[in-house]
Amino acid sequence: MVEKLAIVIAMYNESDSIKNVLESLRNIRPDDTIIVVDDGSSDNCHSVASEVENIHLLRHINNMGQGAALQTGIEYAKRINMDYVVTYDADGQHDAEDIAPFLAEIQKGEYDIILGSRFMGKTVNMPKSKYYVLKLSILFGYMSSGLKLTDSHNGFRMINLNRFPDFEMQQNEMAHASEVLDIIRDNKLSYKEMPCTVIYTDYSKEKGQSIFNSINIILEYFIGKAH
Amino acid sequence: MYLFKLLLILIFTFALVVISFSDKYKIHKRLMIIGLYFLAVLLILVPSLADALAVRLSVEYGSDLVVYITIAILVVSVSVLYAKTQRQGRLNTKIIREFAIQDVIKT
Repeated sequence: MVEKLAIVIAMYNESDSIKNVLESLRNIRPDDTIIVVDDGSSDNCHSVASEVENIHLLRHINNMGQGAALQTGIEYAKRINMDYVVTYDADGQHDAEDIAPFLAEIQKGEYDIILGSRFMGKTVNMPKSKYYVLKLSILFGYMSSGLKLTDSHNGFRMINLNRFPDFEMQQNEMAHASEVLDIIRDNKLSYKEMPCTVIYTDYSKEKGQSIFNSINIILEYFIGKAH
Repeated sequence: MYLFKLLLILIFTFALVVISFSDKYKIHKRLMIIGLYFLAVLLILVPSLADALAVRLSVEYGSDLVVYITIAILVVSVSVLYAKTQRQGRLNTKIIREFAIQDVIKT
């Protein structure tokens, strides 16, 4: 039986990048299911995405946050009986060529989740300030979850839905990335880090998280954990 | 002075009316709200009562006691409201997610 992979993309006001991202994915991964969740965008990225053939396009009527949008895509992937899900950024930071080695590794059946690591892999044009913030967030991730990782807050991760169909993130906003580590720890999931590429373009740097927003993410994480 | 006291009582009465008509409270909650209302009015009209209560509760001054009680009520109220907002938020997420899944477009 052929195992099925869904590529889940959360999209919010990405009309400038989404078409290129989807077309490049479609070319490199023609047989995979691409699920795009429009998180209540106010630009025309929904209609731009709908021009790309052979994708599943979902839409939140309100802006709920990246975590909520990814979870919607994952939930949909479960309902259409996907075996694996990879989460992928809409701003062109990730490299579709990284999907193949992740899929090959997870298909061996030893891991529930494989996390992408830009520090094991490659970064292109990463700002110095981002480097230090990420290193701090790795430390924060270790203190909060106890998991020793080389990267954190990397949106590129692959989940084995066959082994762990109950994967569910509760954090709607950016703190979902830290919550993933808690899910791994709390459910004693088998995990592995693998190298991946993160490309910082002017566009992705503009769209990405500011240093000050990192404080918000930490607050969000603790407030979210409190209930 | 009397005008200020009257104004405070009016504010509390307004709050009581708004709360009474804003939700279907169970009897114990309704009694608690009415009780708090009368306690507030009583303390405004008879401030010495706060002093007497303060002595019984080992708090030095009546005004301190009023401040402590007010802070405690505020903290509890904010916590309850926050929990309700979060619960509502989770419910909204589920509803919006379900709508999104039902209305999927396959290009």
